[in-house]
Amino acid sequence: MPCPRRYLFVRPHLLVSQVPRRARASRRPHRLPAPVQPASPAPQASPADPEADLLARLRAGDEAAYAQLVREQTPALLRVTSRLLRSDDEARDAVQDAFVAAFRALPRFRAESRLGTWIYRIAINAALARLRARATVDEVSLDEWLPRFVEDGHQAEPSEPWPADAGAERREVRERVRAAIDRLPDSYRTVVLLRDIEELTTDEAAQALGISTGAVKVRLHRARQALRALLDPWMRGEAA
Amino acid sequence: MTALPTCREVLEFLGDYDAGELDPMRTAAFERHLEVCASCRNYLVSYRVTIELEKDAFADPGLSEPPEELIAAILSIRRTA
Repeated sequence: MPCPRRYLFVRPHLLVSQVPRRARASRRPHRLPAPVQPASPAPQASPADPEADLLARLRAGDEAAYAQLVREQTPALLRVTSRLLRSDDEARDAVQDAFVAAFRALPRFRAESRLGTWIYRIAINAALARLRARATVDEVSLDEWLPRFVEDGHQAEPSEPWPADAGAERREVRERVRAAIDRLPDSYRTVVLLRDIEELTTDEAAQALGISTGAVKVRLHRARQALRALLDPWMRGEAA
Repeated sequence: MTALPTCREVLEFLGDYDAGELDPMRTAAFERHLEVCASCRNYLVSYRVTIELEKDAFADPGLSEPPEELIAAILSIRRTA
């Protein structure tokens, strides 16, 4: 078998963010489960606690436990890294980066979040590291998609209502919205993906991106405004 | 009473308003503006719909079976590390 590619671009200080994600009632099926347990002592193997059992087996070097972990977590990690990187090949490399980093950090894992949530964060950081490592591309400006105003502060072009049945064809809407998100500059697209799609908190997104919480809020609002503008003609039936 | 904000102010801080992060005085002023400005009401509704559409955009069921060659590569790294 050829030697697998191996990358270690993940920033050490971004590797282990164990702040528990806020439990949310609206989690969708493709999400990882929210962390449920607070910080706990070193887990003991117990049939009643599969997670602690798995962790104990991992720490004991059980190959079957590693295979189980990788097999269970890889689909979710590929989904998030693909969205961030928009490249299946790079997404796979980022998942590989994430597992390598996780294996190394496992002795320090304190079970303050679920194992899956912890690795998921590492994978986000691995994908963001790859995104940062790409050659710099001139970012397009959002200005043309932001609302315009006249001198007295009124909207230059009044906003028209969206019909209540706009977007009834769900699959087409999803494609339109994904295409619109892809048109955003990376610095805005990543904020939308982390906050609105992956449902990280503002603090968590700020930490992952290495920017202030204020910058996350501003970028998120502007990105949503831009997406609204990109969808507006189609939602009002003015564009094919 | 806080002065009525302009459309520019309302749309600039719409995210904070929608997240309930404005103070009560400012929230009340925003709501007075929204009562009299159909354009900003329309904008607010479409802004909220946009967020819902974003959240739904990736809800298609995706990959369920992980690629075997990737699993093998990761486990190979693990064994040789």
